[in-house]
Amino acid sequence: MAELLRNAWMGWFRVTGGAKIMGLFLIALLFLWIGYRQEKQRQLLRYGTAAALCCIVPVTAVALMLYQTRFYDYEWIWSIVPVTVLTAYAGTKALAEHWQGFRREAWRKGLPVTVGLLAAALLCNVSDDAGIDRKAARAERVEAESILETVREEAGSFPSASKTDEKGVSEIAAAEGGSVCMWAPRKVLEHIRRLDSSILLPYGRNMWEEALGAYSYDIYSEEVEKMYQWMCIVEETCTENDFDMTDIMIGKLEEQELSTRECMEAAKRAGVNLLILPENINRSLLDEVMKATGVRPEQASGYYFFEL
Amino acid sequence: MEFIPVLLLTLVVLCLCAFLGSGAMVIFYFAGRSAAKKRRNHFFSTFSHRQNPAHKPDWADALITGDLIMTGLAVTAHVAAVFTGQSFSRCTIIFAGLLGAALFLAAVLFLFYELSHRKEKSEGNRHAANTAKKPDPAARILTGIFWILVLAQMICILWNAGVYTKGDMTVETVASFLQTDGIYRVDPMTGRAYAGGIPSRLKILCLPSLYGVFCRLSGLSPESVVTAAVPVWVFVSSYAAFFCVGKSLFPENGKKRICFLIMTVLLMWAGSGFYSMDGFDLIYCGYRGVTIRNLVFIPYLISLCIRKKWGQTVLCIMAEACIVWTFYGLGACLLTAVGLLLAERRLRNGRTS
Repeated sequence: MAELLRNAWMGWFRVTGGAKIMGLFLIALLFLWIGYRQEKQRQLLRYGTAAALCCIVPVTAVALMLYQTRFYDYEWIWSIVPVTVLTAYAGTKALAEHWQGFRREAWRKGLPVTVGLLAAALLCNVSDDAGIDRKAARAERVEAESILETVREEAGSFPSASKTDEKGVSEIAAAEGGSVCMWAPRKVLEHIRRLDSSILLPYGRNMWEEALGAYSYDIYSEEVEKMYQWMCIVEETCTENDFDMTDIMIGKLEEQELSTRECMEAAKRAGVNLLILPENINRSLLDEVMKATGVRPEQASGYYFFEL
Repeated sequence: MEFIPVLLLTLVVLCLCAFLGSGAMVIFYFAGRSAAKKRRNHFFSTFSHRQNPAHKPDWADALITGDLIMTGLAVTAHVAAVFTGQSFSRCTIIFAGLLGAALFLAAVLFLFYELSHRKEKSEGNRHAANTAKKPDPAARILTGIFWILVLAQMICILWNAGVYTKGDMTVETVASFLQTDGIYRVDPMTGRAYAGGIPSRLKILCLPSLYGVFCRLSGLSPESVVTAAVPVWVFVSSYAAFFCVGKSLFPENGKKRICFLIMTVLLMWAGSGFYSMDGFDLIYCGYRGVTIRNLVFIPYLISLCIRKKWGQTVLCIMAEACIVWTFYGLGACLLTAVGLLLAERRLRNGRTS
């Protein structure tokens, strides 16, 4: 409960800190209460105000978060508040009043209000990216597509992925049709199932996106989690220049008690038959992988492809 | 991205929804009229539109009612397939059958309405022709501004915006349905069979099946349908819902209604920079259940409550339960409807005392 309360309290600051539109909404509420309290639509105004108060006060906010099954973040309890409707309503009221029913002759009073409202709306949206790094996402996607192209060319030579340790596999094996089980860096796995759903993965996006864990009761085994941690270290210690990352890499592997050989064996047990590693992987780690798998990789699209 | 097929699919879905909704409007009309005659069934009397001519249902009401019906058909086909262990192909056939039957019913109702109101309509047309006013230049300018802003937003959705997929796996889910020809048979994240299964409340959410059916029927990829066609459909439906709100708030003034819509478009732009704001949902996450709820169902529900059509709000509440994972289906639509009903009651009590 204490955590929920803290979440509700911090959530309000998060919402107002990020979205300036909330400030505009509160001003709109004030404007409507002062100037249009007796209007026909005060039912909506009363409801909007009460709902907003319920979302702001932490105790009622917690009740609302419990009501929405805790599955959604604090931000989503604001769904019950007609933020856009009431703000647009207040804006329309202000404009209609100053333009005197949108008459051309009233431009002296109407134009400044219009410009002011426009500026307020524009100033609310100071961030342009909306948390989406489009450039990076596109580059990653292109990379995943080129890997997929290579995999498709080679697909015929892969042995079928073993899935013997799972329930109900026999029922769906025929329908699945996927014969490639791929283990690759996170930025590749992020896109691969969206591009080709016939490819199987030892772990998916739900490994690093906690929210996705709520969609199923399945959890990853410790072995698979270690595979993920090992791959993270591989990605972190990729060398863009001549700087030798070997010591850092060894330190990280030791710190997390990871062994390359064990991870390769775990991968085989998980049914992985295609391991993809970045071309700029630390040389000593690459040698270790080659020794553990007994496979000489092929090089294409900036990656090493190991057929296990 | 295949733009022309995506736009064609969106157009077809919008037309289907509008047609289905028109059929439903005819049912509401006759139900309301018969209730008004008998003066005993209050539930159906709420469907009648005797209070204010501006509160009469129009294309926007028809479109959103069609969206609600489409959700109803999708959940019926989806639940039938899930709980009888049918394949996804069978689910598509069930949906197509239900949709065909609903369209046939809508056509019959429409025809019946047209035939029974031929005389009234011709008189109405004559009256409208006699009383037709020259459009106001201010209204024309405002309408022009609105369309420019809306088109810019639509172009942004189709070409530039990108999609926010964090915390969501709809594309993968739809792709896994199509790949395995089954519903929730494999974990969409890995493609492997579920060991522990999924929550049953999640199992009845029908949007992935609906999008999968669109993919099957159109031949488009899951990514094109989920990240382009559906967001445009939701985008149009959303502005139709806000149009209904504008119509309810300003029944007497068309210019104020357009101004309200312009303000809405601007607020969408303004809110597009922050996660969970309406603008962000509309532009970057148009395919999500919460977006459809927040930007189509809730605004429409608000407009229904203002117009005192309480009966129809039940449809919004039920539709939300089919697309959003909330506490036993008791979601935001229910809270909003109850809140607005209480506010209305308080006002009425205040007036009578």
